[in-house]
Amino acid sequence: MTNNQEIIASYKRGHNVLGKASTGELAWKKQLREAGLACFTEGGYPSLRDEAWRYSNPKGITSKEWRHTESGAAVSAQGIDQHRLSDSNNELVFVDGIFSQELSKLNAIDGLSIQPTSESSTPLNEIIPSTGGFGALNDAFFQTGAIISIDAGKEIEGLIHLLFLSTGKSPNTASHIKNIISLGEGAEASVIESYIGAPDSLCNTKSHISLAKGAALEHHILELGDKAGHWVGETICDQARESAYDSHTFWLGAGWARNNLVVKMNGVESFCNLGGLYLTDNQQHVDNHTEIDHVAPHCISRELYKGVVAGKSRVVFNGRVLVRREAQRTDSDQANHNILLSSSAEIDTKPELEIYADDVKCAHGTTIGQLDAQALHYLRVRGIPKATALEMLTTAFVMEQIDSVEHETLKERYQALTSKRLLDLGRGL
Amino acid sequence: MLEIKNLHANIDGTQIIKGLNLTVPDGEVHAIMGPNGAGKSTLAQIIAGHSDYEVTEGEVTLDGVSLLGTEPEERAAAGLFLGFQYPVEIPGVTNSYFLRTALNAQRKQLGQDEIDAFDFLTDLKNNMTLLEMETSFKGRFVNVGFSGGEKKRNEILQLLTLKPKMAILDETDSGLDIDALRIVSKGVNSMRSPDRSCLVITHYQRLLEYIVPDVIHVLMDGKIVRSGDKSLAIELEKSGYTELQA
Repeated sequence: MTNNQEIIASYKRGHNVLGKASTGELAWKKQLREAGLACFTEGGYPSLRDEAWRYSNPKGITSKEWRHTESGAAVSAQGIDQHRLSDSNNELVFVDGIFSQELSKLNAIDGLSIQPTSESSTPLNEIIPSTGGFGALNDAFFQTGAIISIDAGKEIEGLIHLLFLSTGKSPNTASHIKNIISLGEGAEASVIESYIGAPDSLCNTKSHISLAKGAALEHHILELGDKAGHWVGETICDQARESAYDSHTFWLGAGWARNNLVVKMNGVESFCNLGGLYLTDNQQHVDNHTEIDHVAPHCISRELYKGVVAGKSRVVFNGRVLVRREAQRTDSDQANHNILLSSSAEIDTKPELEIYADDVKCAHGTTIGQLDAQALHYLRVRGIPKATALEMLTTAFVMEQIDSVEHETLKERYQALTSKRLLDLGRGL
Repeated sequence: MLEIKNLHANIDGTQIIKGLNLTVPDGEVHAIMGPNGAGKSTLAQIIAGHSDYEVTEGEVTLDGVSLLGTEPEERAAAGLFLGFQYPVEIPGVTNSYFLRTALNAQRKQLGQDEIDAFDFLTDLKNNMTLLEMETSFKGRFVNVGFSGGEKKRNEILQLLTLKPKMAILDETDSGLDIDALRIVSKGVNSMRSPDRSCLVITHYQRLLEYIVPDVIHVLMDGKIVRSGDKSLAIELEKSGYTELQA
């Protein structure tokens, strides 16, 4: 951990301002922020010396003095429109980490309750365990987010859309968000978190998901940051017996992004599916650290991360699968497949299987390849220009990540976004 | 009209085409025969614009316009088609999407509007009927899991759909049984017209019984060593290439 006194001093100053502005707030919130700052002061930022960060140097973040706003910049409704999803039953818009009532579209639905995280009646540190580094920073400057609860037995139609927009209107603005999603017994829902970044912005999120017995959640993270923006996040999902967690993450923008996704399969016969897609070029850096913790027996986990990596970009994938001694009859399959479009791009991929049970089925596979030059030639000989041909071939490679999404509106949105992004990647060649 | 004058080309420093002259006028079908390693497939790839080959001398024109120095896609839009000896598999891209994208890409380069979706599908259906292909091939990924014969038939489907002015068919008959050969030939023959021409590369006289050429050329050691009418094929079948070399 780096312990840059100057940075910490600046955060302390920022924290004092925050403290004054937030007098009269819930007691837990003040405590959380103070404990977070103390933890951050102690540990500081992670650095390359930490094993989990050895391929991801956060210096683009650590070298800057971040501001934290208590009032979101003004954004017109039109500015938001292109990011809205027509299939949303509720759309909560956050601007620079601040909830915007007027931009949000709220609908009362039986069995669904949504409230800003800052108004939680339960102290947040009882729900989301505190961690160091960016997690401590998230505690110290915590703004808000959404608490989504679904009652037992309720199936919520459509998407619950959390839209986080960084405006970049005042440079070096950071947002610190916490989301809490909990599904009661047998409940079903689909939640998407969209992150729209801006230059010189930092989005730092921390989410906690809990799925009760038999609950099923389809959970998406769509990251559309700016190439000069930063994104750091952590999601922890606790699964009870027979629950299903279906995660899809799309990394399509930020200059520097790091995500930790931790799934704890605590109950028997639970299922999780983790899908990820990253399309990077220029100097982008995308790091996905996933961890599936098979605590209970008879659980099934599936994981497939895929990406196309161009320019001088760098991608990290670390897939940890832990099968505990009690987790007999675990069935786990992990794969990470990549296409490198340039000789200056880099992928560091590492499966990390730790198996303590003896009656399990665990598979993993990783590939890093180039685009098929013969196929490219074949398409061009038929009259298809190089950029289009590249887009067709890379699209074919990533298509299964989109096809596995059930919601039609989302599928269409992903198709449009990836197609545009892949054309960009192809043009750079 | 395809014109090749004094063409010299090499790959990785090895010269393969050594001063080749060939003219295929509009409306004619020419055949190129020759032993293994003579440079037949190389010639086809050079005309289509494969970047592995380096043309060191000579020219290649289609209707008077030089093809050398242009991209493969520009050559296709100019009306050139190459039927591959080994058609490439493209997982994830369906046949129908591939053909429509190719057709529209060519039309775009020519400043034309995209083809009407209904017209495209009607034409595709007719062509598939002619080639006795099941409709399921439309939705299958390009050449993935196709048998050798199906791949060659798929090449001809592309030929019929893209309707080029000049088609080069590189050993389209290799690996075909007699029924497939008949079907493929039927497809090629249906394209014959006064403004289209075709260059058929083959090892065997057999194909030329189905696609009857106007002229047969013998390519050996990077050059055309002899040209003649269809009786030349029969002569070659009897005597072999070694006799010509002497």
